[in-house]
Parts: sequence; structure tokens; C-alpha cells
Amino acid sequence: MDGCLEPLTEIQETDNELIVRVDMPCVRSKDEITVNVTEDTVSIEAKMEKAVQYERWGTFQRGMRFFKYSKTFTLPTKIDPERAKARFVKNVLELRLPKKGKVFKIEIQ
Amino acid sequence: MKPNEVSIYELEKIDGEHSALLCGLPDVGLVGIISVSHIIKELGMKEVGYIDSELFPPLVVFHQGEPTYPIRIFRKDNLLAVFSETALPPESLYPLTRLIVNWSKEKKLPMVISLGGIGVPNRIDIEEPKVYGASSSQKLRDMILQNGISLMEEGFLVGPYGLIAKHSKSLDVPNLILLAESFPNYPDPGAAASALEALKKFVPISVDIKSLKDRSDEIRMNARELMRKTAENMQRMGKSQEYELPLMYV
Repeated sequence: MDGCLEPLTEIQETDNELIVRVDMPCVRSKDEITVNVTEDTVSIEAKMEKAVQYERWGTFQRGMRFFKYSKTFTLPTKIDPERAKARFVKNVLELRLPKKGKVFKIEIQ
Repeated sequence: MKPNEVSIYELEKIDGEHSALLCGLPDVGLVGIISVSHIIKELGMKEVGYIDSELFPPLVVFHQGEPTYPIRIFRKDNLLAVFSETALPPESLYPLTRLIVNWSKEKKLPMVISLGGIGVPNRIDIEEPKVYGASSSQKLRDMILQNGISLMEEGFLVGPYGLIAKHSKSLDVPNLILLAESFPNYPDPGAAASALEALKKFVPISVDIKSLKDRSDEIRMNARELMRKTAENMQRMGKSQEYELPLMYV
């Protein structure tokens, strides 16, 4: 039986952007990763270098092989997908997603 | 066993002179668990006891078909180690850490060593994670500096290692804390390798650290679920307070 794993993910929110970090051991390079972003969702798929199989784990799980990571999630605030950036370092995918909306400076009277 | 009580069970008599007790408990980046597990395997440490409580999750761990307790004590020569294979609910941490420190005092252990991680948001850009040290003992604080390790001068430490430090201070048990810069919510074998390098300056152990780095992907894959549950518990215990400035600086 083949399946996909949900990667460990964390979201850090700053004043201007959301920083999403996704842990993806066993993914060889950035070329194996597909990231699709909308204003409020992120969808990630990544192919593993080789199938992962937990040979001694449990009972029915032994036969399972995992070939890829897959995760789709909703963002806590709207972002500007066109200005989004990504990098893949130490098998961690980092997305920097600038928040949508203009910031208005208010003059203090 | 009484409800809300945590007990240590010795499978063989643990006495004589020991050099230290290493603690590998679930925390930031699972640094303690990864490093202590590596030491147990590399040194071929023998299981000599376990810790149990009704406050722990209702489970056993099977190894080679045999049920074992998730928190176990290991020994090799004069070195002891306590190691948990399960995430620990915050309500179990006070009695557990109090017991570990009380037991260390009773056994007259010269040092309780907490190996752990300290979450840094820029871990992705760090090649060699830096290790910070702290201690309840002035002698050990001097040794930390003499060994070229930075002192964690100010700040909060939330979780099992914070409590071990607190109980150690109360009971006058020397507690050395070594914290490597780590991914907060991902298993971090690189940080564990740095923690082990620092540990070697205090305890003469012959442990191959390269093999730990070589097995990085495998460790990260195997520790995913434990990390997921540990991250949930860290959130419940207010781990984010570690990023705050102590009030004395207001």
C-alpha cells in the first residue's frame, strides 16, 4: 500500500508577512517540490528521494510505503501570492508570504 | 501506585559511584531525546530501571515484541541516563522532575545533566548550532565558561529542564544545562550533535557524532510523531515565554 505523509509545519506571523516552514527530510532538492499559493491557502507536494517504509512498525503499517509529502492548509490572514518567496535549505521549505492590504500612516494631531 | 504519584523502579540495584545522570526528555527539537538515545545506542547502555505514573499517557512501547515502559533508566559503567520515548503531559512534569532530582540526591550523583534545545527562528541559516550553558552550581558555571561555552545569562526556561533546574536549586543538586540552538518544532539531529560536542567537554564519553549527522533524515522521519505531540504539549505549557524578557529588566 502506498501513501503520502503530512509534513510537520509551523507558521510564524510578523507585522508584514507570514513565514511558513515545512520539515521535509528525504526530499533531495527543490526541483521535487511543488507549491501552490492562493490569497488564503497553501498547497505543498514533494517527492521523496526513495520510498520510506517503517519495516518494524505496528502490524498493517509494515506494508505501507510513503513516496511523497502532501499538505494543504488555510492561512490565518490573506496574503499577496504574487510577492511570495520560497527557499529550500537543510530539507526545510521556507515560504515568505507578504500580507495583503495597504498600510496607512496616520498623522497624530 | 497512588494516583498523581510518579515512581522509579530499579530493575537492579543502582548504587556505587556515578559520574552523572543524563536527561533526555521531550522538549524543543527533541534535542535531549535524540542525543541521549544516540549515547545509549553508541555506548550499549543497559536498562536498569524505569519510571511510571498514572499521569503518563496510558501506553507501553513494544521492542522486539516485548512491552517496555516509555521512560527508562540506563547505565554503562559509572554513567546513568534517563530517557523518554513518549511525549509527556504538562501536569506530569512537576512530579516527574521532582522525583528525578530527589532520586539523584539520594544516590549522591555529582551532576544531573539536562541536554536540550533552545528554539531559534533563524535555525535554517545556522550551520553549526551554538550551545548555551547554565547551572545551579557556581563550579559548573565556571566550567561552562572555561570550556568556551556561552552562559545563558538571562531568560526563561519552560518545561522539564526548567523544572529540573528549579528542584536542583532547592535540593542543592548540581545541575548542568546544555541547550543547543534548534528548530523549535522539528526534530533537530544537527542541534543534538552540537549538544553532544558540548557534553564531551564535561563527561569523558566516546561517542561518534558523525553517525548521528549521517542518520539525520532517518531520525527526522522516525521522530515526527513524537515531535508533533511534544509541540502540542509545549504550547500548553507556555513555551513561548522563553522569548520574553524577565521582568527585572523593565
